[in-house]
Amino acid sequence: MSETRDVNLDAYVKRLRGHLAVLPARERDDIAREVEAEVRDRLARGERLSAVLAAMGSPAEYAERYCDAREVDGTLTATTRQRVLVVRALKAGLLTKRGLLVLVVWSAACAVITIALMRIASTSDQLQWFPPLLIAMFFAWWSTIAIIALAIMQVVPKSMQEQIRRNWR
Amino acid sequence: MADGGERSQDNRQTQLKKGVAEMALLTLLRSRAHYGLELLDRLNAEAGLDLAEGTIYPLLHRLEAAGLVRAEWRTETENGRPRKYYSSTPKGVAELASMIGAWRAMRTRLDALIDGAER
Repeated sequence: MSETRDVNLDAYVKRLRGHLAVLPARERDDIAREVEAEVRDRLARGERLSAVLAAMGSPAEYAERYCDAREVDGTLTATTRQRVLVVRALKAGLLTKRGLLVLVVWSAACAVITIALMRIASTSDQLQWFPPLLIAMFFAWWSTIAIIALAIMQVVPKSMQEQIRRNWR
Repeated sequence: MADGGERSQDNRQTQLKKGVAEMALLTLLRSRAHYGLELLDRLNAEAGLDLAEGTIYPLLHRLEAAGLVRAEWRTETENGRPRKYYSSTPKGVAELASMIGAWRAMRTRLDALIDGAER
């Protein structure tokens, strides 16, 4: 039972630390340590871990309140926060086995399509290959951006996504 | 529709309580150091603020970053568990005095406004 508790709490704290990536490492360590201390105090009072963690909200929500508080006093700007979040999203979404596999397969498919179009073009009129090649490159470029955007959407909190959209308009 | 109205009323009250939480926190920390859960219990039981962990800890960190409170880790002798204790700094005490002055002035004027409107 104790082991299960530790595993759940450890998983929560690990995810929380990930969502606090915008803050300095020392502050992240401090927050994680404080959350652990608070939860263990509550468990010692007889509260259930599931109820304690539910009351705290998801690690993403919990971390967001810290970041919001730092934005209020101006020690963390929205731009810095967005930049770090996007880098983290790319790491989390793309630097995984599945993410890399998708990118490798997609890059190979784009290369094959491009080579095939060039071969077809070389056997016919010299100028005809250019428009299909452009279309293929355009498609490959935008679909890669779409994959990256999807990866970002999976990690960045919803409220932050809204803020990023607003800034891009 | 009624649920939406109640939620909106709850949100307004939550925002109101969050607004005064900083002053209530500094008031408790002026007399002695507290750890987070102890502060949360006192704020909810004595001031009726009904705050959650997700509100109080980020607020404490913000006040610490602003130099209004200081924090230190202590290991409890009773159970050997480490706890982070917060206490007020001189800057925090001065800020609290200013907050209380502003709060009292605002409360007096608001009371007058509300009483005048109810007559």
